[in-house]
Amino acid sequence: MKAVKEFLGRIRPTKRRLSQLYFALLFNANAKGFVQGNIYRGQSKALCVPGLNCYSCPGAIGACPLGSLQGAFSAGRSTLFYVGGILLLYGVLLGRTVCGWLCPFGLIQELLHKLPTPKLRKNRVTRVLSLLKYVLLAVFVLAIPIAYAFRDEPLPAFCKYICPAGTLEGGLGLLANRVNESYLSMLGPIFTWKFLLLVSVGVGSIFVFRLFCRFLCPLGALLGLFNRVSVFGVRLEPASCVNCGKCVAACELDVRTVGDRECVSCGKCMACCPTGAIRWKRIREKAGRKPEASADRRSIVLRAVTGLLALAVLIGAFCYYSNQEAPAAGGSETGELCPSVSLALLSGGTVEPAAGGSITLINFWGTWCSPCKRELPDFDRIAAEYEGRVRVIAVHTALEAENAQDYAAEHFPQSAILFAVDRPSSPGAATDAFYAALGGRGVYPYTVVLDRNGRIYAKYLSAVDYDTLHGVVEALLRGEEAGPSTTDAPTEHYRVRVTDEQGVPIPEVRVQICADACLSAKTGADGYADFTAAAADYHAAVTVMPEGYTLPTDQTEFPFADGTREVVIVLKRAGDG
Amino acid sequence: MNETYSRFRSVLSWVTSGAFLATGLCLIAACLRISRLGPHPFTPETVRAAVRPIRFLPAVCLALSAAGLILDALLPQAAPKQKRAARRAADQTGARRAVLLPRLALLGLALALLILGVAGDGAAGVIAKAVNVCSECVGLG
Repeated sequence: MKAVKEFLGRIRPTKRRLSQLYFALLFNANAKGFVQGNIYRGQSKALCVPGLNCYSCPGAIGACPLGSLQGAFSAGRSTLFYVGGILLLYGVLLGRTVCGWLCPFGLIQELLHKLPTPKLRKNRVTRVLSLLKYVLLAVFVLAIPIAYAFRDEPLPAFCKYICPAGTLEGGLGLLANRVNESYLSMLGPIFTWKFLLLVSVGVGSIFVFRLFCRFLCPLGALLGLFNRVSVFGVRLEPASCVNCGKCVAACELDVRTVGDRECVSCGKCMACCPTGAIRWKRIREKAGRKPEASADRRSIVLRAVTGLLALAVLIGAFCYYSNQEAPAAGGSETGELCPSVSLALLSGGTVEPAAGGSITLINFWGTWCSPCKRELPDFDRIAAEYEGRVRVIAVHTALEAENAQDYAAEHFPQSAILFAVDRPSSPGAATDAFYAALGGRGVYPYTVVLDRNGRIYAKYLSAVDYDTLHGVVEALLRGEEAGPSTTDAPTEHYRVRVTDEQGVPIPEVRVQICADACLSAKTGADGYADFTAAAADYHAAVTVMPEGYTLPTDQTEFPFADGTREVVIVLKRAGDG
Repeated sequence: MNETYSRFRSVLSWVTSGAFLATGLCLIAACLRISRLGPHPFTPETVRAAVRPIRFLPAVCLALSAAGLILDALLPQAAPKQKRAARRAADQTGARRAVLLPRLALLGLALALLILGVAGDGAAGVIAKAVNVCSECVGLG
């Protein structure tokens, strides 16, 4: 029994460890994301969390402060103020207490360091290396993103080339789920490099205490600058200090004095200070206060209440995020018909990507997305080369869509690309619904190629180059129709005729046939609209009523009679009886 | 003597940090100059021409900071700063005030920035990036 008690005493977590674990769970409370393999897309993502926690992690409920800062340089002044304000607030309130008590990536490193191996103690070399994080802050978080922001091309250099938290939480977190199998096609040299870096940091953390935090983390570097003025943290009472140096010797970080820029306020130095000169900072000093029995009781009650409240918040967060609506899973697969929607064009009017009649390239992009912007010139080139034979529709995400028009006008003023926005077509509908309907899972850019019948021929996650686009367009022009299901599934020819009450054909009427999905086309001079589609129970409808006409009855959908592949829709002139 | 040495170490530390900062600023300046070159692809000649006017400055700063670091590593440590802090112990109230003022100023600045950011819908810029998988950030793109 005594041995068990001793063991339990040994493994009993400290307050700091509990805090780290708590915040790691709280910042990743969207547990459903890990199961479903997608990321949370709600409003709480607007808030940067205090700690290095990748916003592409399936569990993340907030934004990464470093990623947001890098993005803010190209997102406009307001975003820069917003992110700068949050970072400054965290700095002034917490300083590097964030690193010691809140950061999930710090927790991972500390747990790795617990493995029983020989450890490398701090020395002069590690002290010099601790300055490296300031170089990374200056170059990768500030200089490169700012320089690229001037070029109107966002580049989160630290996230892209270094951040191991992104690789672990975002990259591996998403790849670990089988539904994201398609992401494997996106892996390239950058992932290899980042994966190697992650492994190196992981292995290094076993031997060196908080390797990444000490030498590489720009967030720690930034917050460390505020350590002296931060509201929370440790401080030294100079009057009580006897300069024994035990505090600095006991600290595993490269501190020179208690509470300097390297100090993460772990509080380890407090235990070894012989005179009790190291204390937590207090907002209001209560000099000469002596501990009393009633104060102890108050403290126990306060701790119990705080613990219960924290637990309630955590459980509440897990419940709240597990009840949030998940993005529609699945979406149309290759070989299936493209869902019929009407998208608003930035230049005015609408476009129906599924209308058929010509090969269509649908590119989902965003002005905040650097790879999207880099590939747009290739789409422009394709649109110009194949004008009249290939439609290129660049669909901007509904978020920040107001920037798209300016960008398109500035960079592609004469382009044949149709710039559209994925806005909800009806009130209350989900934003980016078309993207989700085509199987988009939050990754931009995303390109879908449709054949002449509006069938999905190919999908490309991440950026595509000109050669790939050229190849797929040439293949379609040679007559290779969409995917396996077109060749496997039997197809039929369907005709919809639109006439007036005298039987006179009405041309240029947009009609559609729908079963599980819809196909859309315009009637010709003979009043017929032709469709080639998989055999199914379709019904026809007029999508856009021609001017001066109306339906004679309340019937809006016209089923094909059994055994026939043709339906006639009769319209009456508006105002006639 | 100890005090003089301690001051020397302090100056060395400031010079090294300043040189590091200056190197960073030079790099930012170089990046800005390169960013004004125009569209890709850059040629080595155009990049060289862009950074020529400031080419010595980062090198000098970097050399200075490297020299400072080497000196810092080779020279013996100065007496702990706590000693100096202890001398100031008599005037602790003044020291606390010295911290309180920048703390309040920074807090005010942080709140002002936040208010300006929120008023200008700055959160939209963050959310646009955060709700989509940043394929670059996670190493996929």
